[in-house]
Amino acid sequence: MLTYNKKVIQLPSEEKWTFWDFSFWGGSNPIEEWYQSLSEEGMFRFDSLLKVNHKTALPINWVQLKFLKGKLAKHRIWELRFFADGRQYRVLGNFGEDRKRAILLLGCYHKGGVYEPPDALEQAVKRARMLTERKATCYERPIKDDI
Amino acid sequence: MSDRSRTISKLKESAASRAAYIKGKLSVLIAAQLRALRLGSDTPKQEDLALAANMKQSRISAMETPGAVNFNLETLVRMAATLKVALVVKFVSFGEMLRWENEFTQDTFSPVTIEHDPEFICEPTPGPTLGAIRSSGLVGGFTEQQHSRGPYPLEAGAASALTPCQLTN
Repeated sequence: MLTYNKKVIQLPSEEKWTFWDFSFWGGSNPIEEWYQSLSEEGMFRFDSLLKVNHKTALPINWVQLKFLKGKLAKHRIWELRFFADGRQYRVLGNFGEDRKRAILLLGCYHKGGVYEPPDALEQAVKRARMLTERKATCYERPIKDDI
Repeated sequence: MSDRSRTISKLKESAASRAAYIKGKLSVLIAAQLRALRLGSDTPKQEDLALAANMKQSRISAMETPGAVNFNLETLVRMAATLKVALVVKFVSFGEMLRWENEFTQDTFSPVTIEHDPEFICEPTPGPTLGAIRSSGLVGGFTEQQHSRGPYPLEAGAASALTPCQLTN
């Protein structure tokens, strides 16, 4: 037990990550829309992926998290990858200002070296900027530990 | 009806839904276990694990991507053997699967490898083996004369000379 001035300090590693959906101020949630387009198996897989990763302290150890390289590296955008429905889905995200907060910016898939939608990366960068400038918001995506 | 209730209804009614649920969760849990085992092993790099498992590095990467590989038992056994752990395949209730998923943490998942498994550690010590003692009639077996009299008590001190490893041989 770690204490400071006789108070117990919670070790940072005990905190879990939270995932947040990028959303427009009008109420539209493009992450949820993308999620609803998945097959049943895809939904279960994505839910499980978030559930397993939110308990893993370091994102570098998350299941299938890859940081983008090259020109987009400076935006610190990453991809969570999984297969379903015959596709390699990629959920683009970045980390929020608050501790242990992961923002899901856009859901897409990747085939033959091409993203679908083709401007997925540019959209993700734009959405990250919108959040920074408070031109968009985000809502927490609950971890489904009851199903 | 809540989303959860709708999902549960579907699971109860449809084998296809149940299969989707199982595949969805297992694919992530297997990938996470493999990743955790690899990072904690003597071969933390995918290239090294691939060499040890006689596979390509791309295959290891695919196995750690949920849904990328349709695992068969042979592949799982091969990976377990390479990583020096065992494998259990067990049919369970949906509640038990959910509990396993909720309790699973990649950071703390580290089953003991066979070299450190107390059940499989056997330090050789000098002294008579159980086989030798049995054939002498001291433990477990009887000479014909002793059989007629009943069980022959273990000679005092004989048991203490035997290590747990020897007693089980």
